Amino acid sequence: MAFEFTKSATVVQFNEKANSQPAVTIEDVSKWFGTFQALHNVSLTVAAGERLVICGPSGSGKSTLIRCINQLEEHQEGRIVVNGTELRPGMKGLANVRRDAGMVFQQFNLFPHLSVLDNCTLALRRARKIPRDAANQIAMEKLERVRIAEQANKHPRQLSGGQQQRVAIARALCIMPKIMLFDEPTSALDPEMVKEVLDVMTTLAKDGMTMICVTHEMGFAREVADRVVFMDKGAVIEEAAPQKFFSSPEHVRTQQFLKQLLH
Amino acid sequence: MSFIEIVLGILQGAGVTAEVTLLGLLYAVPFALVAGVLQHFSTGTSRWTITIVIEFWRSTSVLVLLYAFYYSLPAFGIELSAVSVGAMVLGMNAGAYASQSVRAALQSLDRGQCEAGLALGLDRLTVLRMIELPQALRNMIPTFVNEAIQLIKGTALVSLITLTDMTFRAKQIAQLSYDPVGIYSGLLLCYLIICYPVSLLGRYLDRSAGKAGGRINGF
Repeated sequence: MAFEFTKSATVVQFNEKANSQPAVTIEDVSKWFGTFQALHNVSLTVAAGERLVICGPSGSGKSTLIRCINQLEEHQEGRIVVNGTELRPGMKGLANVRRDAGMVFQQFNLFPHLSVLDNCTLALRRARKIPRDAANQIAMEKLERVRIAEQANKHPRQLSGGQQQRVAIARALCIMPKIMLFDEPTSALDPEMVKEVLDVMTTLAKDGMTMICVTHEMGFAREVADRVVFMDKGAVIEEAAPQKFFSSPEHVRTQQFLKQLLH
Repeated sequence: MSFIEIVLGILQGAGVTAEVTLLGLLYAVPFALVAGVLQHFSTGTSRWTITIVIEFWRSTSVLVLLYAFYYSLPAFGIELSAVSVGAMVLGMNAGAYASQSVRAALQSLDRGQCEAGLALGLDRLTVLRMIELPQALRNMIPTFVNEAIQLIKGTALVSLITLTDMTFRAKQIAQLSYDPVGIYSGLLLCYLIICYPVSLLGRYLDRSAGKAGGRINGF
């Protein structure tokens, strides 16, 4: 029943967005880690400019799904199309597709041996072959945007967690992505630093960036998301506009999950 | 002979010791890097091949290898000078050891580092060159310095294949004057004089790499 819901929602999305190309199309995607099936026939479409929040209990496959969108994990069945390019395991030009999707990780994953500025310019200089001066200029713009330009010459470990995550967002923005993927961006942060990161993400969303966020920040989901997706045991259980999702979730598992979050 | 004369006499062999060490490093460093990186990345047959090569140099006696290369290869028409054989055998032996620290340092890096690089659209080789190796090499500075010191000390063995290094000089002097205590404590002192500055240099390199932010608590 859950599966049928997903499918019909996808079809509706297709008809509505027939004219404009969706940013991400995921069709019947399954993924296994050894014998453990992490994703069960997941289908999801994200329109350009849409903000999607994916939530669900740990181990529900939400991180795996978002990591499949830039092929940090390979899917074994189904189709994933990002900005019109279908992703295949071991495909050529994967680096180009990845440049269309900026990724922000739970653990920041900044490069500790490089300054904040060099973290941001590395991909510009090495992948896009932009000269250092021009790359620095772009990076400073992005650092300005996440309000951390004054730390440009420090090393990541000299910054707080919240500052590091904002640098990570700036670094992802530097490659001029069409989509931003956030994999639990605030889960590793001390509580008092969550807000500064969510504020930056909210600003990005208001500027019209296409965003897919795996997060448990339900306040953020309510305020920013166009659609909330609930996953459990590797499958999409429910997807709805935030208002409906939070006020009248249809599925028992969604209700239980939301209840636990509120307690 | 006074102790000073003995030490000065032994130090006449320092040039050969230094020559074998430096040439040995020319074998050791590239071999360690290439073998360590290949072992980290390759799978299947190529991994077996590289592992066999590493283990050959790592699991055989340096002394036996020196004799084998110096005295046996001419029988197959390959004549190498004593310096070449000494540098190659000692260098490859040290390199094989160091390759294991290269591999271990690469493997111990957080997987997120590589993923972040790939997610930025960098190719695998650039990720290795710009993200993984710089961090791994910084963490390996102490091991590399250790290997270099082992290499210096190991050069004592080349006295057995006719090279006039410090150890060979000590044995020459020992034949002229019967003073084992003076001569061999002088030889000890000579190796210390050469190795200790290298050790200090290593500590300095390690500290400045740490300052550059390469390691946890490194600032």
